[in-house]
Formats: sequence, C-alpha cells, structure tokens
Amino acid sequence: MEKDMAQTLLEIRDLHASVEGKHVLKGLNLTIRPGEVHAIMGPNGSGKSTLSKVIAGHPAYEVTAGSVRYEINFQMRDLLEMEPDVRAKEGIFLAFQYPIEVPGVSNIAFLRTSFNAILKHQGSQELDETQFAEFVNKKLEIVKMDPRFLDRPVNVGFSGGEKKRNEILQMAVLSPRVAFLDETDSGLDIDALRIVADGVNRLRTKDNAIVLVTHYQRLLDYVVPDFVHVLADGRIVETGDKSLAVTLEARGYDWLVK
Amino acid sequence: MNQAIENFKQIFAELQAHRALPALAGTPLAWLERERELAVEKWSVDGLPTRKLEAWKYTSVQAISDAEIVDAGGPDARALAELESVHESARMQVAVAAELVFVNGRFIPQWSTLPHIAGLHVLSLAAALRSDVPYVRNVLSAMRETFGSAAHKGAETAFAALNTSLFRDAAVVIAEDDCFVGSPIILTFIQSGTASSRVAPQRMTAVYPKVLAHFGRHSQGHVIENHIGPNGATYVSTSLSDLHLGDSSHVSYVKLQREGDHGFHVGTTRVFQARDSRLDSLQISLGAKLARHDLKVRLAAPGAEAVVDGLYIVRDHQHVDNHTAIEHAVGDTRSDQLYKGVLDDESRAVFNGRIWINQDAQRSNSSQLNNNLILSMKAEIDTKPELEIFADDVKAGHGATVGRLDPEHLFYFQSRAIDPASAVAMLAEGFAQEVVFRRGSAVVREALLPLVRQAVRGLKVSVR
Repeated sequence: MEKDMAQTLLEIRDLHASVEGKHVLKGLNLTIRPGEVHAIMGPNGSGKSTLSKVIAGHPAYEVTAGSVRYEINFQMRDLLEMEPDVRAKEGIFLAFQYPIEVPGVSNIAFLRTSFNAILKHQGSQELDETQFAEFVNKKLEIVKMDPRFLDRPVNVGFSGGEKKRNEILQMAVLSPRVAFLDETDSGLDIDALRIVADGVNRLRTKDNAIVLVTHYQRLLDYVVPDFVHVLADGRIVETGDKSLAVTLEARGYDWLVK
Repeated sequence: MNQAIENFKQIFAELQAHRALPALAGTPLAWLERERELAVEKWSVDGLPTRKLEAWKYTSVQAISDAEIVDAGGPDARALAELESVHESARMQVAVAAELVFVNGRFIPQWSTLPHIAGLHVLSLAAALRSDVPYVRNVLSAMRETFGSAAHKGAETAFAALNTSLFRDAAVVIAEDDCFVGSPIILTFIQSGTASSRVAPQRMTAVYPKVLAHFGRHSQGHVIENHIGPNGATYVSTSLSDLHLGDSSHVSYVKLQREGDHGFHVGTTRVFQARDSRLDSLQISLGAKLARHDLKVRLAAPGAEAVVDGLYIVRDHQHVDNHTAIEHAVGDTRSDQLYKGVLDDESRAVFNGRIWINQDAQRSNSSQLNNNLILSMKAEIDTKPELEIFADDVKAGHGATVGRLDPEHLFYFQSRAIDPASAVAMLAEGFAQEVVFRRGSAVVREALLPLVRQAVRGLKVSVR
C-alpha cells in the first residue's frame, strides 16, 4: 500500500470547478505517476485550460468539490490548500497558453528570482548573478534560444513561438516534478514546434511527469504520450494510448461526446 | 494670522536683532540681505497657502500653519553623534567629486569632502563669500539677476520666500567655463527635527536648506541633492535650490527626498537655462509625511533643452505633490517630462505640469507624461496638465495614465514560485526604474537603482 502511494505523483478525484459562476469541471479523475507523459485532448470548452489553471492555483477558478493530492516526501498532500507560489516551489509547473508580457522586468532577473525562490524553499544556497548566468546559459541550448533574450523584458515583443520557447526555458530552469503544458503547440510553425517538442523530450525523466493539454494530435507526433485522455464536458470520457490520438484526428470528437 | 507665521516672524526678528547669521557673520552680501527683507513681505502678509489657492487645491499645509515653529539650532557634538545613523543611511554608494553635508542648514566640514578638480568650486556660502577667486565672486554677484526677487516677481511660493528670509548657509556649486566633472557632486541635507507628539498643536522645527549652483559655458556636471531626516521626528524643510546653466553647459540634477516619516518637505527648485544648455532633472520622492516640490525651469535662450523627470513611491498616509512649470521663453527650445508614481495604502499624489510657451517661442517642442501605478483601492492621484501656448508653430503633447496591477501578472509570478510581495516589488521596480534608465550617466544610474529597489520593498497589493 505504502509503495503504491509513493508511486503516485498527482491524484485528481471527482474534481468540480467553476469560473465566473460557470460550472466547467464536472467530476474529473486522473492519476499521474513519475515518468509518465499524459495528453489531454478535447473540443473547445471541454475544460482543458480550466484543469491547468486549477492545478496551478489561479485565483479566478473555484474548486467546488473533489480533491487534488500531490506527493511530497512520500506523503500525499492536499494541493488545493497551497498558495500558487508554494505549489510552484513544490514542483508544479504550468506552461501558459498565453504567456504574460512583463514590461520592466528582465527575463534573466525573472528566471533567477524564480529559481532562487525554489532553492530557498529547499533550504539550498541561492545563486548570485554570475553563477545563475552560467547555469542558465546551459539551458538556453535546450530550446535553441539566443542569449540576448535573457536581457529583454519577459515576453515583451516576443513572437508567439518565442514566448512558447521561453515557457519551456522556464521549465528547464525550474525542473518541475509535474508540468502542465497548456496548448504549448498552438500558434507554432513546424520548425518552432520541433524545437519546443525536442525541448520537452529532453526534459522528460523517470522522476517527473508531463501533461500535454492540446487540441491537435500534431504535437503528439513529436512528444509521444503514454496515455491519451479525452476531456468532454468537464469529465474524462475516454482513455487510451497514443493510437487514440490518431483516431481522434481521423474521426473528431463527436463519436465520444454524444 | 496663524501660529506658524507668528513664530517665523519672531525668528526673523531675532535674526535681524543680532544680525545673527553666525555662518555668514562678517561677510555680508548686501543684495542677499536686501532679498531677505523683500521676501518677508511675501510670507508675512499672505501667510502660508491654503487650499483655496488653485496651486494648493489638493495639498493642505494646515498642519504646518497650525504648528508651533521652532528654529532649528546648529547641531552640537552630541546632536551630531545622535545623527550618525541617519548620516550613514544618507550615504550613497558612489564615488563622488565632492560632498557637502549640512545638518539643520549648517555646514558640517568633518562630514564633507571638498573637490580637487580644477575649475570646480563646491563649498559653503560662508566660505564662498570669503573666497578671493574672481570667478566665484562674479558668480555670487550675478546670481541676483537670475534669482533675485525682481526676476521672479510674485511667482514664488511662501515657502521659497521663507527660505530666502531665514536661511543660514547654503551649498554653493560653481563650475567654471569648460569644466568637466564626471562623478556626482552630492549635497546632503540632514534634518534632526523634534520628537513628534500625539497632541496638537505640533511642535515643529524649521530648516531652510539652500543650494546655489552655477555651471559656466561648456561645463558639465552631476548634482545630487540628498534630503534626509530621522523617522519619528517632526520638522519642516523649506528647501530652495537655484541652478544657473550657462551657454552649452550640460547638467544632470537629481533631487532625492528621503525625509523621515513625520517630516514635511516643501521645496522649490528654480532653473535658468542659457543658449544650448541641457538640463537632465530627476526628482525622487520617497520619504516624508507630506512632500511638495515646485520645479520651475526657464528655457531662456534658443537651443536650451530640459529633460524633467520624477519618481514618487508612497505608502501609508504619505502625500506627495509635484508641481512643474516649464517656461519656453524663446523659440527652438525643447522640454520632455516623465513623472512616474507608485501609490500604496491610503497615500495620495498630485501632479500638476504647467507648460508655458511664449508668443514668440516658435518651434518649441514640449512633451509631458505622468504615469501612475496604484496598488490600493484607497490611494488617490490627482493629475493635471496645464498648457498655456501663445505661439502657433509648436509641438506640445501631454498625457496621464493611472493603472492598477494586473492580477494575471501576479498569477504568472506566483506560478513561477515568486511570492506575492516579491512579485509586487519586482513589478513596481520594473515600472519605476524607467526614469532612472533615462539618466545619461551610468554612474548616476548605478547610484539610484538600489534606492528604487529598496523603496519598493514591502509594497502590498489589494487588486482583488
């Protein structure tokens, strides 16, 4: 029993959530274990983005029922009790569908503050500017990012593809245990998609888990998931392996949604 | 007539009776003595301003008017020892060309560093009056033409007039023609104040910091005025700074206000700009219970240009009021203003930007922006441009924004492990530091950035 517990990283049970008074998630169940890649697919409005936001702790999303438990030091803890920054410190990551532009704050200062917040939380020595520059330079290569992007304000004037690469750079720096990638493939041309997918693949380890929230099968050609779930009307209605994504691509969602 | 004015009158009478200008004793500058008397009329007849005056509509100085005013004495050794920690926090982390330190308006030689640059004179007015350097003597006599009451008619505030009547000593900065000074000249004014009481009327010490600066033809330099006082002490500082920029001179001027949390700072800066001169001004207001700055710039000859910026970061019940007045007296002059403010808690800010373009001042170019970031529902900003344009071939733009912190920004930071307080500090710093980055001098930027970083610490947000 204890062994089983340790092998679960994130456990979502009967999750109900609403935003602006609208009931979006209606009893969602999902179990995520270390080393797994999950894909969550579904039509518009099915609740994909809501799930990501609820896990990250966006204040506008209200959980009305159910639980989300997260393994910290071999104990399953109530994730929903934690502030968003505490979740991030404990290894939860959300790559935003629409990354936020932050004028006046340089990308490298943002990354360093973020990284040091986690180090501090873990009781480790924080990195000074020189040490961090050295550390982050090695990570740039994962998403083939020009070092000049580090000195620019966070996401300001970045193209759609550059913003998504910046999200994956943040993921590379923070080494999360559970990463939700919300429509990270949307708005990418094929070259950018390859770079982003390649970056994600390099960040896969046996200890972490990645959840790809996506509309299309395209990304899954590059990042091959262990599980594909179909989300419809706030619930997971079908789970399969990567072949399910191919079926969905061919047949659409209608046959499941009805 | 109110309590404060009665006390100021007594203080002036004592000065007259003793000719008791200890610092200046024996070295009278006849015109300055005459100016003192002329200035008395301004404040003793009209009194301190009330909110009935348009220029003081949003800023009440009633607390000063009602206070029992005590003249700040010169500090003795014990007082200086008590102020050592304030002096320490006043220090700026920068190599200086010179630094003069004044306590309660009295020059403190042992805390000061005199310059060793040919053509640069940074000294107390008392010392300047004893100087036998012809350039210094000439400048002191000529200052009257630019800054005497005749030049300003009735336009100055009662507080500036109080300074003229009651100041004891002044910081004098004189850069001779072609003198180039790369490091900042720092003028530090420390106020000791008096322990604040909970009952009205408040007892308040008065200080009159004064700066006289002259930059000769083709000279260049950086002046940083540094005003500071201890928290918990009550006082009113009526600072008055006069800057004269000669032909083709280039002067960067920073006025940094970090008065104590019970201090009042009502200051004026007057700038006169000759042909092709360039002013780069930044008023930073972080401290004081109430701060008011009047900045008057006269672009007096073609080619003169002024970059006039400001930054205020206020919280609790702080009140800050910036009044700027840029006069395009002739054509082919340029002014560019950017004032930015961060307001938290129940603080209040006022910005009033007056631009006057004279009838003959064709091809004048002026712009003005006031951007505010409000972190609390209870903070308030009153911002108003005041354009008076009498020429037809001009460019004059103005704008103001009042924004709140975007909750999506905050969530983005939190999702990256950054706690809300650090996020607010980073966002506010990012917003505020734009004015620092507009400074041309890397040395000045480096000196100011840590102050901005420190000032945004502890800001809160209640956007939801």
